Amino acid sequence: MTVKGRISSVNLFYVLAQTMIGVGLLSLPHQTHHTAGSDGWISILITGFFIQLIVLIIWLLCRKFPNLTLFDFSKVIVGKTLGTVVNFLYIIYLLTIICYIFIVYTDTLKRWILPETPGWILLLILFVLLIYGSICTIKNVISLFSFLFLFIPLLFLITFFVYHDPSIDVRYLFPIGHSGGWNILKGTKDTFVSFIGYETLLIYFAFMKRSKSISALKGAFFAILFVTTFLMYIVMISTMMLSPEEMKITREPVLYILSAVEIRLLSRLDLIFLSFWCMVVFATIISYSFSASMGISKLIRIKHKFAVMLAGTFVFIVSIIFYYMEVTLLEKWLKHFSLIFGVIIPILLLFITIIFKREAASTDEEKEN
Amino acid sequence: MRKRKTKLVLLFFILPLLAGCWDERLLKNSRTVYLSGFDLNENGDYQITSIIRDMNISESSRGEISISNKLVTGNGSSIKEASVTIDRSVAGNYDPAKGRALILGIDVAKGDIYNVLDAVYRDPRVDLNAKIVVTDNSANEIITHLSENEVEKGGYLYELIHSSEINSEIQDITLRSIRTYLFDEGKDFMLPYLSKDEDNKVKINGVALFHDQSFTGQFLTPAESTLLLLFMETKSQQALLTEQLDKEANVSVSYNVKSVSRKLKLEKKDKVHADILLELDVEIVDYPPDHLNKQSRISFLERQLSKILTEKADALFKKLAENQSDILGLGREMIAFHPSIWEEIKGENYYEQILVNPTVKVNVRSSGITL
Amino acid sequence: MRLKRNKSKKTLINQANISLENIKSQLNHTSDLKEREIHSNGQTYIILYINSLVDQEKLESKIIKPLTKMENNDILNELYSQEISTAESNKTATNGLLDGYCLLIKKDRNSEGFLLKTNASTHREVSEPVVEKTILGAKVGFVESLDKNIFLLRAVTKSTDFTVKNYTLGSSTTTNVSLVYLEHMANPEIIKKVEQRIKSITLDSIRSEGDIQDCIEDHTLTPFPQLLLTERPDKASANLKDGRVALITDGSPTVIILPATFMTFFQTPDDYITRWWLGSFFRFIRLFSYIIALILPALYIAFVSFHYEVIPLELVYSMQSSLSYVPFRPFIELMIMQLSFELLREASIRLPPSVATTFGIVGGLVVGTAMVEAGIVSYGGLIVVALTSVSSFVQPNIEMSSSIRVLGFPLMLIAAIFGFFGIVIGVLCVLIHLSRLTSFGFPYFSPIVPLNIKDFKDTIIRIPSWMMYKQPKDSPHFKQEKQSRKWKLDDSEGPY
Repeated sequence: MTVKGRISSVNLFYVLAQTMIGVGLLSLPHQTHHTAGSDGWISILITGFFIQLIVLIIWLLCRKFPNLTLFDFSKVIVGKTLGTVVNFLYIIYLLTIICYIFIVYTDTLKRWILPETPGWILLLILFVLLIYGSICTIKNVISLFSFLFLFIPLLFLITFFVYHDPSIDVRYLFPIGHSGGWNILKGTKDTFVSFIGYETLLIYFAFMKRSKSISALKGAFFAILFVTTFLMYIVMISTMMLSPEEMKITREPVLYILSAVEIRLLSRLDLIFLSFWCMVVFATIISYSFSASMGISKLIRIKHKFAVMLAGTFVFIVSIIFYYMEVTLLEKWLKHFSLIFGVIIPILLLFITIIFKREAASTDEEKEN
Repeated sequence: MRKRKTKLVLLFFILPLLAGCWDERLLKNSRTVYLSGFDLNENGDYQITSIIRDMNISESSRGEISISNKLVTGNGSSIKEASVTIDRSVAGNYDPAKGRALILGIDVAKGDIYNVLDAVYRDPRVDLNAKIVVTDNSANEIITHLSENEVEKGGYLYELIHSSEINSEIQDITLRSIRTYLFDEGKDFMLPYLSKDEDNKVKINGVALFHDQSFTGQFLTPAESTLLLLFMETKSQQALLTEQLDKEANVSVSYNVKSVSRKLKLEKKDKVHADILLELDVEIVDYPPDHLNKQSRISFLERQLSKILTEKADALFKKLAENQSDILGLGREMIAFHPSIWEEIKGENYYEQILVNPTVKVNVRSSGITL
Repeated sequence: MRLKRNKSKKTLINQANISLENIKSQLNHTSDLKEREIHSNGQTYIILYINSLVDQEKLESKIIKPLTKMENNDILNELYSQEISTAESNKTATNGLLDGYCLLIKKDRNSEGFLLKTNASTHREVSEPVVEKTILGAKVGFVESLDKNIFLLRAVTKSTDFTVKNYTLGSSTTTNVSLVYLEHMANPEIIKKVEQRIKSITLDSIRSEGDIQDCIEDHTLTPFPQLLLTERPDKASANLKDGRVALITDGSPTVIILPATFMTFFQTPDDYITRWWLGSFFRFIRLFSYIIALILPALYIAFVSFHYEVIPLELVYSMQSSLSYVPFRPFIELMIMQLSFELLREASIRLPPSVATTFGIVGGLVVGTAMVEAGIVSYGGLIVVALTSVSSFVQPNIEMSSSIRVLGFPLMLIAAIFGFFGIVIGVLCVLIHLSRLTSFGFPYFSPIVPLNIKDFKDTIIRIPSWMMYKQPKDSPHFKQEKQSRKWKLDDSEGPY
């Protein structure tokens, strides 16, 4: 089954940047500080570079199967039964990410602005938005993303107000490399979760206009460069604002810093940041749920609309269970999952494709017809 | 049938909303605090004193509103408990979110001040731009005094602090930035020191030096703290200093520091030697003997000032060393640029190991519109 | 217009169908259906016409008089009427009669039926548009006549590309509709779509252009208008030149422009008359006021009942003092105020202009202040509602500004439940909705969704016209190749 919608390299940039910048943004400085100390930004840089390599692998994999998504070519590569299993696992993985976003999002909102509102209400809202946002065509998704992307530079602009604070201290970034190479590398393990989202390339590459040419890779390349820079900037600015010990007890450093910023009209900037961040997170949710529902609709052959509802309901129920049972469990799982699904499986698939010379032969015929 | 189903689904979504407004905190019900003080009473309990803005609507004419300040106090073994006590005693919700200034009583300041502030930091709605001051007495007394005598001047204390900041008399420190210092092993801070003078007026009487998380008991005069701020390179819009050049002839010079540049050299000998060279570009604002058109006169003035200031700085850093108050952030400097030295001396009292040797060099750049 | 002379063969076949009795019975023997017999040149002619629709003078001078003096029987050459066509069937004959034509039939066996235009015109003179006022723009507005409207459009759009296509809609009563576009500029796909949609209208009767609008717009379940209604020929003409299509309905002084994007509703002819930065500024103000009108009440509710810590301290005190004797929640407070403003607005439309001013003062000022003093609303609420309604009046398009009202109330409600987060959710839903709307297949929210910064130059801002090398995307066929300010290059003096 080949896909029809066509997206350009620029669109891919928007989609990827939107998918990757998500829920991890707020607590990222706190997390990198945990292992890499003041050198968290180096960890991010290394992770960014690493992810560029993985994206290259994914591209090499996808260009063998033009116009096919992961859900189609996995069957070609590892056979029908195993392919279905892989697809199923990927769908579960994508849904788990959405659950994770739901939970972190609700948790953050509850702690920062809506302490009394019951969690399930917030989850319900997210659920409704997920369904409303994902029942559409790929064209709609992409055009929405290109607009919502505008909010990321706005987030960036808001952080400029921080420089007004006299207690900003560049010395917190020094000494560079103090934490030691090993710790910085270990830090990449924590930062890796913030970068998840690039796996969706396995699906989105199929929609590219000329997925075989290097220009298709360009959009993905710049998106990751952008995300890396943005995250690095956020980590650096948080490190400069907060002393190392303080960082350890601040869960959302970015919000905490911004809540102190006062501009003439508004006293709390974190509210504005949080609301723009909401927009960005919704884009992430829509991106994941759209690709997950695509997988579901291909797996059990139902309409996209019902697949979205199925995915939404699953996510809603699972996240409610996890929200009231054990919030941090999903995060632990996700750290391992992201390595398996984001790195190991694509590499394995590429190896199998090269060694066994798998090609998208069947689909080419279909195209000619 | 299908229509009824969609209606049911809609109902399912709308119903929970009807229960709504969980987080509603109406502005009209809230009792906004604009000044709070923390004290430690004899039994070791915390006491919070707050001024709440009260609106009295006169019955006779509808539009007239008179504003009065209401003083409330509450005791408790923790800050939160004390504020709950207050909440019970006032109509509406006691809400410390909008407090513009916090006053720490001397007893509280001498202990670990984070014990007091912890509850504040846990509330996301708190105004992190609030100013913090230390008083020489109990905060209760100052606030009582303020509420009695400064009825109409709501932001009196805030303005007081703010103008001192502009004049580089105190460090620009807010509730947010104080937390950074509290958790920084290589940096200390100073807070405005509030006291009542003979005329029963509340004023800022210098700054209180802190070591780690508690008040050392020592404070600096405004002139000293200005000099210290110059050494920190965190001068505000204005930094006005006056030096007496000749005691007998009663000749003194006032000057405004235009720009500061600091050179810091750290060296490990038996102790850690910190050589600080401070270059000040100043503008003479008050100097009756005049004759500033002559270069010789200017260089004489520069030499005199440099000498006086270096002496003063020596005294200042001795004072800091006595109290081990590393306001300059030398510890942080070592962590950042000389980690090897830091490894040797780090610890609670690292400042004992540091010997500061300040030198001040003054350059007269201008003298106003007269020569 | 001498028509169909070469189609005599066809006429011969059809003429048998023309039967006077049939026509008369189709028109129910209505009393104002007149019949006259004229003998001329050895022939008997019958003229059939509806008395109330026909200009007696015209009938007298242009048809009856020449007919009596006719020397040969060549009707087509002898009569002076502007428009003569052969009636091919009873149906066309009846329709012609209803349009104010008169039917001329030779009273013999091989009679031909001719329709001659003699309609009376009671249309008013062209006058200044009432709703869409401009400062410097043309003082001409469309009128109720289809022909005159096309004339007005053609007068400002002189081009060989100017194309008119006529349609008759309605099955029981008929209405004439004209589709107007510039051949090489309008997107052929859109023309095809419009034609297809117009043809599929099977309404019994067309009450107004609203009926057409209902039938041809892409999405009916949306507060956003997807067709631009205008009563200004200059605006319509400018849109034609941008490659859009106009739809003129007989009997209506408003013309439908399509496809319309969100941004088209914020443009006025004044933007292009004033200098570009001024035009851009006004356009920006309009967009800004739209956003203000949409979210200001919701923001007020969110701030006053959820996040008052966001408001600066000084403002908190003054707001609190006026809020403290309002017994309602902010949401109810604003609802009361909004509803009373809606009443005022609705009332002032029906009033004659001289009374309306007084009414505005009494209604707005006196009631507003009294409400605050009585403690029904607070000063803050009053300011917010007043600002909102002023902002909604800034909108050049009525339908767009009414979308504010439709969206504003739900936004207020959700803000009352979730505060600032609710507003974000609401706005996001509106954005998602907007991003999916299309107008005749063209993305409605372009150039913002999909994002195309190059197209901002004539949508959100208005750059000088000589810089618009390419038209915005909705007219892919138009290119302005030449630089209009070349003279500057030749003209400019060096610095020395």
